[in-house]
Amino acid sequence: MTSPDFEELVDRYYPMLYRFALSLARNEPDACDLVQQTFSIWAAKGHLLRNRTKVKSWLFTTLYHEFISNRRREMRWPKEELSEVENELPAAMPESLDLLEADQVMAALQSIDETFRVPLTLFYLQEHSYGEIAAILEIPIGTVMSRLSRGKQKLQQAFLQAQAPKPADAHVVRIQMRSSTPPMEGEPSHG
Amino acid sequence: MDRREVKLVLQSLRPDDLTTNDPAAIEALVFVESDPDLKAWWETHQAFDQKVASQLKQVPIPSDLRENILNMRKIKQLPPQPPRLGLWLAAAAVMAILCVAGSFMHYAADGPLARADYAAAALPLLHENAPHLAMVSPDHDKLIAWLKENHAPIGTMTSPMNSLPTVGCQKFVIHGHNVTLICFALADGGVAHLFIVDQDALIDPPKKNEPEFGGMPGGWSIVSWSDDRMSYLLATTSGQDALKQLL
Repeated sequence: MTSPDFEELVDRYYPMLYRFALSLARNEPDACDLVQQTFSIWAAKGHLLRNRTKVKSWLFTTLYHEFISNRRREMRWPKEELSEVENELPAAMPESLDLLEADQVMAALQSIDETFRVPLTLFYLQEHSYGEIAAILEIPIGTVMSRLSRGKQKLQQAFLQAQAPKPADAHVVRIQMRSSTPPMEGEPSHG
Repeated sequence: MDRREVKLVLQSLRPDDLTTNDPAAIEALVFVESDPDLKAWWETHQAFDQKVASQLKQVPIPSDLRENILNMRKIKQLPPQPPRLGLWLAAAAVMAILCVAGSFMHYAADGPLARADYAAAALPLLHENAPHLAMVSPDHDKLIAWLKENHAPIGTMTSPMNSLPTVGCQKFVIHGHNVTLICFALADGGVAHLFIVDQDALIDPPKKNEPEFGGMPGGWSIVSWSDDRMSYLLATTSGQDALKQLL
């Protein structure tokens, strides 16, 4: 692959790969590392991929595998298979759906378990069908469907929790602590 | 297909692409048209999916990420750089001495070479901490598998090294001898580079289990040692203390 091809490939896929990586790693530096690692592997091995229509899936699969490999060093990958879908799917939607911002969506995604987060992020990136997501994650299609269903439920719960009013007590405690702590010597008292 | 199954299928359909050849999806889409409650649920669900998907696409990308990826590629494409001036001078001095001594045999291709020359040949391959790596992975097992497959020398790594994530590996040929390079990611963000070569490749291999520390131009701290079969050269720009922690 020549450099222009490589640059074209980077331009085409790095934003969505980064967003996928950010949902996995939950912090920007690690997400950037994952994306760079993925393109580095492509630079070394991409020529081995004969079917060029599979580039996108290859990149997402590689990034996911790299994430798993990195994670394996820290802890065992929690193996959770879902045999049953919740009986009743959520009917409630966050009331202020229109007010959702990008950072809130990412924060909500990052707050849910990886088991659901990974297929859900791939789904919302709108680049893959559920069949392709199953291939990337190497799990059955039925498992992808059940994880998407459960994942959406958890995502909605995360939005609802984020939008719930904060307890007023926290503010009271903070005021009390400030008023009961005398300023240190040489430190401004802030009035 | 009951209502629960219909919901399960519908939730797996991408909000931006409802054209599908999947019989189950088609059946679910037909079913939903005949059930007003389900249709209401489906419309609300689609609105939710579309909102989440559109906002996910708005998540900002770090401004330097694209440049970093492309720079990484450029670094990989760089041709081997000539040794720095200091190394040239050192090599010239060694050559001059060897000419006088009539010891050119040591430099014959495939013959054993002096440890100093080995280090002088190996360190420029690191390209100032950005060596060309054929295999990039934090997984030791993957690296070892690649090295075995490519008939590169495989030695015994120390316990601290075994607990560090790897960056990647490469195989070089220096004076006809196969040399392995394994790079480790250090906790401080630096990198340690381990060269492994068969002991027989060196005229004066380091002593067994007696690490010898030193330095090389370019801010490199190095340590070398041997075991029963292999000789090791570990280099980093993170300082000698970083090397000690790896032994």
